[in-house]
Amino acid sequence: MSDPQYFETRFGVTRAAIRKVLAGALQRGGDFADLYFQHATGTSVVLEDGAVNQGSSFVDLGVGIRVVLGDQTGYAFTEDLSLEAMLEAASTASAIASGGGSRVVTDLRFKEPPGYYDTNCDWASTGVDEMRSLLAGLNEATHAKDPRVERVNATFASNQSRIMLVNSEGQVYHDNQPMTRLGLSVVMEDKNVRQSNGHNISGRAGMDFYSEQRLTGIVDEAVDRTRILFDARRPPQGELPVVLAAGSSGILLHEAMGHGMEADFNRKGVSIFSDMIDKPVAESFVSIVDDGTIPGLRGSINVDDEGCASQRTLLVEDGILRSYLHDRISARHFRVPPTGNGRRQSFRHIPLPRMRNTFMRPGPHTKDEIIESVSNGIYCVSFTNGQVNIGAGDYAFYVKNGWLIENGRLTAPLKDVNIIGNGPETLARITMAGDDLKMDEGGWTCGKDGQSVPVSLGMPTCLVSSINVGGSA
Amino acid sequence: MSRQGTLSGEPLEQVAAGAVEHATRRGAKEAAASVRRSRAVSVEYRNGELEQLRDSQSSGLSIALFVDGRYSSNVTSDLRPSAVKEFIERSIELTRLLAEDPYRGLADPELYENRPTTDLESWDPSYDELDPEQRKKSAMETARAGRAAEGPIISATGSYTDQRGELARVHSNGFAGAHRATQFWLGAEVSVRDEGDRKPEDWHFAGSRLLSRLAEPEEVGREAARRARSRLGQKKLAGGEMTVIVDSRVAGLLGSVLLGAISGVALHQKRSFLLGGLEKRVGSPRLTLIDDPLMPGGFGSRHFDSDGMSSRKRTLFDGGVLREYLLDVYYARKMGMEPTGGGVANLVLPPGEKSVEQLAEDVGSGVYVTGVLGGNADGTTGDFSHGIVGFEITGGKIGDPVGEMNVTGSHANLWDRLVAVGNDPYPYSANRLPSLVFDKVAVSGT
Repeated sequence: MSDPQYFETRFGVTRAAIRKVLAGALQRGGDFADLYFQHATGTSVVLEDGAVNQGSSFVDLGVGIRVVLGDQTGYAFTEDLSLEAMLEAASTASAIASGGGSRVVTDLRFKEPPGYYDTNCDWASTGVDEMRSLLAGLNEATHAKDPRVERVNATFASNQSRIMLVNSEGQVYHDNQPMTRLGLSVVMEDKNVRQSNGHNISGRAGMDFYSEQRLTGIVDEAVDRTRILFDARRPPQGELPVVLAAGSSGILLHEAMGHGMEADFNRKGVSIFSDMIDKPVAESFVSIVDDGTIPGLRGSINVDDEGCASQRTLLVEDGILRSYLHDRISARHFRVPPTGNGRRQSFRHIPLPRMRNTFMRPGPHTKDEIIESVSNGIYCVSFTNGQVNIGAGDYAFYVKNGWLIENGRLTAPLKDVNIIGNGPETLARITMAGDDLKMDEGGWTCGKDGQSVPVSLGMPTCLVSSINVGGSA
Repeated sequence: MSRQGTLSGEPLEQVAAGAVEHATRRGAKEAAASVRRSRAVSVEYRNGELEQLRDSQSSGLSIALFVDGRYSSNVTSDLRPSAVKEFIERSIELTRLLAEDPYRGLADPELYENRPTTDLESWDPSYDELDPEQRKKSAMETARAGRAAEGPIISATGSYTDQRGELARVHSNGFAGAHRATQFWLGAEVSVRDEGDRKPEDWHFAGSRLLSRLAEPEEVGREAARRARSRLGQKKLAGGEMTVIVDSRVAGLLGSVLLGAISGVALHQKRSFLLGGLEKRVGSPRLTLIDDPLMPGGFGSRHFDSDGMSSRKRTLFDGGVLREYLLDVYYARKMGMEPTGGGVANLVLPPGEKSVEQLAEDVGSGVYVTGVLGGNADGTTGDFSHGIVGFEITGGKIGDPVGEMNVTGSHANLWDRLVAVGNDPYPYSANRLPSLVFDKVAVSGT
């Protein structure tokens, strides 16, 4: 269970202290204030040259204090949870307002998290020896799979974040958010040519995440994705039809429209999607969702980092643009209910509208008929990263592995090409979508304004009729 | 609860030494601790209104432990003395559960010798007397200059940020050092309305170690607006092999791929396209890269590195020839080589004579790349592909804005095609590369 008394028991943060700090935050006025307490701990171990001989651990403790006045925010944090230090930070944050009349919060009401993941999880009780033997097993299996494997690197990282969010309306939300990630990377050597690649898996889960099936899967993926690079090439450059494989191709949605739907950009009127709500943006079989409630997925959250309930938010419904992703400030600005997308990297950071798990619902086509429909194009299988310019709408993602499609068949492996397009144009060019939606379990991390948060992605097989593909001249 | 968790007033070196002492008393053979303390303030205005005020002090301890031939690195922000002790003890337990590693250990104390003492011009003593109203004014004026500039401006954000950081590092085998630095930044982001729904944006950030050398708000706001305006009417060119000028703002990204490829970890783990390249030609005669840790006011300037090694100026690439790997103490031991220093402080490529406009005249036709969008590079093969934004070069002039295009190739031969460099090293980063001209680059377009 997430323990509502955690910060009082462990760090002496009493209800009386919380009320004083909230009063301090609102000493010069303001519409709203919140305190975000966080105690995060984590361990990671690394395998290199056959030995698990590198470990690291961290403890991150502190409170972020925010005062909101309209669209304006005052923010301060402290790593010291003594009343004196918290009051000093509260006073600093209060400087955004210049009025008077502090409100007194008398009643604190604690709310239980709904449980989209195991809030009993305690990584601190998982031994390093268990992590070590898991990595040693991976090392052996990876070398056994192909004699050309020259180097194996693996990282096992796990952490948990205990949070308590108290706001000036007297609501108290608490959560225990586990996170684990396993990364495996491989270097192979064949006739003096070296290739490297890897795979990683992640979830909000404990040790039981690492099933036999997932561990076999990560080895197979890492080796297969590496050895195919020996035969892979670049496609011819230009505008081509692009088929996106089911799963992590959701990176297209994340970059092409997800960021543009974050309501801070729309509040400022600077997103290419700013004036498109309730307008058609895609074929009628296209529905796109951002969902924080999928059990155990990396981007799932019980409650967002402003105390708003997590939910399933429909961005595009049957081809029509429906909702932005809101934090409290933008929800107030647009006079709509919050969508539970106010997230932050840590207590040191201001919450912003952020994605959770973003995916497209299944469409009417099959994978085979989608690939068969393309006479000259590419099929994208694995991805490393992407980016977007919010206002121009131009976005990009990097394809690590793919295939050339010739006359409806996958003919030659491809590697290392960037794909660049324009968000609204690409949405309108999704001409086929498969019935094979797959959520991806990769360790995706989304960056915005210098803040990183864990997210996930999902996609059925899709066809985009034309995008710019990097390649040989 | 008292305020014993904060570090204010306590000498950082004393805290670091205390942590090292506790670690060695509790069973670590060696230990290295660094303690940092900082304050960061930022103010943001948008369209004339105050949008955000942030002000926080932060501190933390990190400690590397060498226990029974085993190694771990650990970091905490909970600095209550009892919590620090418990953290160190728990970290020692963690270390004991790992496999042995004969190559781990602190640097040979000889590497600590001859530490430079030159003034890095990195510390502004006036920091603590800064006026909150002056900070607001700087942000407001930057935003206002962006907003007031010519063009169909939708939104202009201006920000002022400053930071003071102090660090002390103590090793159990005799190293003790301290570092402190301030920085001051003005930034502006401007969005403009284009045809259809497009709202191109661009930015300009200017920073300095000393407040007296900070740019004027007016200049920063106007430059961001000029850049945003220059994106209006972006088009796409036909693809093909062409000459590309990479603006100094982007050149650092390319340089960092070379640094990654000569790092100890990449070389030892065979993830480098420059493996075996020492003393070999890996680029054109224009490729000279120098690490200059003592540059006055440099964003990476320092007297010692994270191994405690004394800083020195060194040439990594000299006229196209790879002269030195970046070997930290650990990977140097693993590779049976001498450590050279694992990180680069300030990266310098000696500038040329010509401005970007003059380079464009020489180039005649091609693309001038002022930004990248996404993309990546494979350090093992050198293969890269990046989205680009920039301008067409036609008739020796910088012309219309272009975008939604990619450049693709390999670092294994890109640097052979470095044909000219500009006179404009980028001043706002530790990577001070000038604009670079490469010929025969594959550009994808229509």
